[in-house]
Amino acid sequence: MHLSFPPGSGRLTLALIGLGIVPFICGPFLGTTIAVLFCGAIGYRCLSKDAEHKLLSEEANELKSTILSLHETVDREQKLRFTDIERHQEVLERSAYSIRQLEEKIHELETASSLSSQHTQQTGLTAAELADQVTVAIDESSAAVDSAISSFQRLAAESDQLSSAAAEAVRVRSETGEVDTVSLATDALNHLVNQMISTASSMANSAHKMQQVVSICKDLHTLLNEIENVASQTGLLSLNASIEAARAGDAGKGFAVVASEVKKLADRSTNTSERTKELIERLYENSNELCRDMGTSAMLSRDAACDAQGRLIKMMSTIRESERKNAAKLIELTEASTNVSQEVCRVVVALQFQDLLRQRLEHIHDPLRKIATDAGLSPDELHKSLAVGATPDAIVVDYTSDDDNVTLF
Amino acid sequence: MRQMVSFTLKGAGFQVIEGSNGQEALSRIDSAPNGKVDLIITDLNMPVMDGLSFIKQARTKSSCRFTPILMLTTESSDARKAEGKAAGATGWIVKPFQPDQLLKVISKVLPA
Repeated sequence: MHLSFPPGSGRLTLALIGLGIVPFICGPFLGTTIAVLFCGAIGYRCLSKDAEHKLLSEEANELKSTILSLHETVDREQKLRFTDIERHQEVLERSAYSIRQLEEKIHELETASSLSSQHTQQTGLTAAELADQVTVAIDESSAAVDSAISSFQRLAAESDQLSSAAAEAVRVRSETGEVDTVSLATDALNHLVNQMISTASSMANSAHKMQQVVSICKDLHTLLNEIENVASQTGLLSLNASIEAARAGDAGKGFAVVASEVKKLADRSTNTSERTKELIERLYENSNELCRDMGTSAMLSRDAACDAQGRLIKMMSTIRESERKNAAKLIELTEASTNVSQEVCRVVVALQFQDLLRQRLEHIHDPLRKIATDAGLSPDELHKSLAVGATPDAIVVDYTSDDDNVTLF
Repeated sequence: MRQMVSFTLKGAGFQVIEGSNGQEALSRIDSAPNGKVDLIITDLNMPVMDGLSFIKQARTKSSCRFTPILMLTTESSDARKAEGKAAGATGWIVKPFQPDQLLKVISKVLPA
């Protein structure tokens, strides 16, 4: 391809090329500035006269030398630029690295922020749950204390009643101690048993006497036999007298009458004796039977009395032992009642500690609620918020049983 | 705590009137027989009206001007005790108390 240029167009071309090259060689800013200045100068001269062509050629040579020097300068500049570019590249690489790190940090921060937000929300939820649990604990604690107090009130009332009953029993026992009721009962029953024994003994004596009566009856029976014998002999004598009176004739008539009367008396004696004998035999039989019955009864009565006495002694011993044990139990009961009262006092103190714990829970409860409510606040705001519901610091935990905790004004 | 004090006092034969805070206690005192009581036992920290305010209010009543008032509280600082004394309290008992100890203090402050 052939290109023809008008006069002065070579400089223009050079200027255009310069315009294209200089920026390429010198960098965008410096090159463009040089090119513009150069184009302006060249353009102006192209429009001048051809007469000045030589002068311009010289000037062109000067310019060429100038351009050469500029080239050198540009080369140095370029070298310097490359150095700067390398340095800038390093800087840029470092900057890119820093930016990546920054991005990572930002990502981490975002993640941390997200986690922090979640944690804050979780903290709020946890605080709310804790506050709910504290509320439940307070309610349950209060209910337990109320229940315990009610139970102990009932227990104390029953203990008081028990103590009063025991004291009354001790008092009654003390009053009646001088007159031992058991001894009195024992004496009375012993007297009764002795009476029974005495009665049995009397019955035995009666039986013995009845035996004597029976013996007398036997003797009477013998006597009656003797009387009957006498009556029989008398009858026989009266018969002999009657015979002798008949032999005497008239003189013996009066004697015959006497003999007859004597016979009648002998018969009557015999009859009476027989009847008496029958009665005495019946008396003997009855007395004998009565004697046996009395002897049996006396023996049974005596045995029963002896048995009753033995049982009575055993029973009284049992009653006395029981009474002794009851007295001991009564004393134990009184002591136990006293112990119960002391235990109730201790429980009252223990319940107060529980009440103190409940108060502490109540103090924790409000700040927890605030934490739950203010979970999204900044630490400073949260601190200020919590400072409103600060826990009192004067709750006593040390306990002394003396009077150190009492102040009278 | 109020129940425990009431329990202790009733066990000792006292007739007890209870109130859950200072305001309620003032109205209960007004409605008591003859508008007066022989002894007042109050806590320091109470809702509605605290113990110190209650004592100050009670001391303005003619029926309670010379009534013994015992503070029964968990607080034991001398400053608070001074406040109680200034308000008109007769005595200061730090919880927890022993029933016998409470009754002994009452026997000391009650007029014979």
